[in-house]
Amino acid sequence: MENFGPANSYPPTSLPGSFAAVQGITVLRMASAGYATSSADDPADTAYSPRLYGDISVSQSAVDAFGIGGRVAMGIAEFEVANADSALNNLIAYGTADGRNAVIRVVPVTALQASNYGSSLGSATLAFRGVVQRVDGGAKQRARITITDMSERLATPLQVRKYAGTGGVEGDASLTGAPHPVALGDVFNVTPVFLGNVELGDGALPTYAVNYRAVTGISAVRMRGVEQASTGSAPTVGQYKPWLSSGMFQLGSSADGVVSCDVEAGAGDYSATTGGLIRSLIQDLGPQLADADIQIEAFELMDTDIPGAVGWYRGAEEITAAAAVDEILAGSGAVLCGGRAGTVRTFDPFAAGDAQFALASGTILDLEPVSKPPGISPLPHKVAVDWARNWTPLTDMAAVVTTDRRRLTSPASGPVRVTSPGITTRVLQQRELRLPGLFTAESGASDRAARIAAYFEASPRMFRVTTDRYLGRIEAGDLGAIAYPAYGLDAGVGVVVLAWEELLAGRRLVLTVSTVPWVTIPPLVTGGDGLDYFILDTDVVA
Amino acid sequence: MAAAILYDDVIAGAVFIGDLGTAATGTMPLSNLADPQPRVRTRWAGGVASIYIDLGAEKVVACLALISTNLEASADVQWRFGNDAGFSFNEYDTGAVFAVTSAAANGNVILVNPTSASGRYMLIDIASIGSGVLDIGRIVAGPLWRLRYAPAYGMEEGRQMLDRRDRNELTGAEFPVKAVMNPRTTRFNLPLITTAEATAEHRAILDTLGATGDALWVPNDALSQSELNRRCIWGGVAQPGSAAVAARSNFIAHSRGFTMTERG
Repeated sequence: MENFGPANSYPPTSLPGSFAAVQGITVLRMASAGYATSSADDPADTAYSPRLYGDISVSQSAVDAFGIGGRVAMGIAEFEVANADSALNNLIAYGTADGRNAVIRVVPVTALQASNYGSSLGSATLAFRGVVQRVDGGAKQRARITITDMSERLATPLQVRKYAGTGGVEGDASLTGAPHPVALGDVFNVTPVFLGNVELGDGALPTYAVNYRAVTGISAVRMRGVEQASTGSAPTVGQYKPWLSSGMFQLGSSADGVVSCDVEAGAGDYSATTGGLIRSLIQDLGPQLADADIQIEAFELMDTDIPGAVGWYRGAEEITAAAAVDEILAGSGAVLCGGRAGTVRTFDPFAAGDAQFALASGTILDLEPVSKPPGISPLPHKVAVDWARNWTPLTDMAAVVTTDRRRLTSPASGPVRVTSPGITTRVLQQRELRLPGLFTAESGASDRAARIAAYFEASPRMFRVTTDRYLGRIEAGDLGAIAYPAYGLDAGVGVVVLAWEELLAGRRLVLTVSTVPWVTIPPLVTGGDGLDYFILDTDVVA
Repeated sequence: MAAAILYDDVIAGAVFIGDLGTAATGTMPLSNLADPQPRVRTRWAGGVASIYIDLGAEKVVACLALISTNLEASADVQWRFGNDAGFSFNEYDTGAVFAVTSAAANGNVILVNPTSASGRYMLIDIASIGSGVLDIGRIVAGPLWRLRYAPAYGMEEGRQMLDRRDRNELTGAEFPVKAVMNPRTTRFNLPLITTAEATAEHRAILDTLGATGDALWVPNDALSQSELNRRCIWGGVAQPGSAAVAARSNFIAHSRGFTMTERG
């Protein structure tokens, strides 16, 4: 309804087009050298002004998170652009670009004279898709732009559903503005949110919420550690009635101490694994990412790599999606980050699999050893992983509780410990790496501990490798194989990528890798000396 | 024959630049011609352009340069210049000439009037059908400072190599990286700038361009069209922070050394 029409020609509730469309969004297009799209491109016949100074370095590092898990932020190191014409002043002053999408593409120069250098925009390589973190003014009439990855979108409150504090299931005034609780997977002894005495059909009874949505079970409710009996009818003293579809339960009497419960909540449409819980956190909650916003296959791989069931709970306290994800990642040593294509992805740095890249000496510009991060140096001789976390360690337990007293007072069961005999023998300083596992079963924790211990037992080394191959393709967590005539790498080793930095115009890719013992391809060849060789370089094999 | 420098772009002060029967693409408009970045180009989707320029007053012009274009060698270019807005009577008319330019010449087409002429109106007709679209970065024109005495022996011409070629010190493997372009560069010395030139044209260059303005270096105005395109350089004539001076090197003349690098 951009124009006025005859009376009654439009329904009275019609909105002008300007109300429905996003207004005032300008796409800034800039390039290291002037570029113009072709008439067949989208957008067609559009100029990219030459504003960039120097090269763009795209980088990502999971080195600090290695072994302990966590989120990895990708930073494009503050590339500078010309601002002598003040074109970016509003972006600097008002932050109008902050948080907006940014795409970096690379086009090969095949025809220097052509305005598109012989490469259409459609054929450009996507180097990175992310969001603008900030635009700052700089010296010499320049501006600095920092772009980060899509995991920046996790910096948002996990739970948008808040209690109104108006009574009933909205809680009393003390809960006003507090988030609804979140339970994922099976969680043990959590503290439910007390809503007050609420009428749900059996009279006004003490009512507790354990999840913002339906749960599949509330298998135990305790009052100062004393288990209450479940009932399907109106509860009386010593009983509770679960309201599974509402994620609540009611007690038959007022509580005389700490109330806690065991909840089976599942993870919505996802599996109750590390990968599934993270998907629920970022797709059902927090930033509510769509399937297109995440790398689904990476999460599916996570289910294979870390299959153990886990659980996570948060009461009526605020937390960001990023902090929630960090808690789950820390429990297994997994890593979540943004991918080059602008999707959120995850990976297990201890995963086994096929080599996704191979670099032999002829393709390596430089290779040098680097120090291991402090978290794994000296190498731990034991890996310990907690399981069955107790979300409410009790300090005031009724005397009548005779069973499970230790489990109810301890923060978690376990831990499961796996000892490396080799490291115990070789390394004087005995260290233990302990992960605050969220596994519900001991088997999940023990599998994880064994996997990480196997990595340490193989005496990992770390290297920085510079190459001009695999540009625009390598992601953190990728497995590969490297052979180099130095540092004992003649025979080739399997590696996992922990960090990468790519210079887009410089055509250089710098990988920080750690050796791993479980890369399966390229195929192994056993040489006459009994050693295993990767078939990477004919000279090496010969 | 003479070496020459174009430093006073009269088109920058033109009162009107428009299409005459053709139409530049809306997203890459005629105003891009005024952008000092040669790669910010104007586009004609049909591959044909007829550009009409009114300088606002009669001015002396000896050279017209199309900088950073996608013209193919066989493209037709015609430059008409005079005081007749209908171009029936022209002070100078190149007739239809082949552009004979290439990527090595950055697509530049340098049209030089062997003498010079005065006029107010220009019409530049270009037909470059083969490339589908016609893109031009800049159009500059103006009088030429034709040097009274030639540059000294020792003039250097070549390219500034921005390409990289890294080598692995252990294995010897090389990893060359091609730059977007290796701009043309030249270094020459003008050993005999007369006092009149030093106080007129050379002084005007410094006053007009400073270190930010660009000029066109024509090493020889009698070169063939293809050599003009290859050897003329559009770029800065002074470096920021350095002194750009004509030295009084002898009793009757000044001298000055120049280093110019093409602006790509």
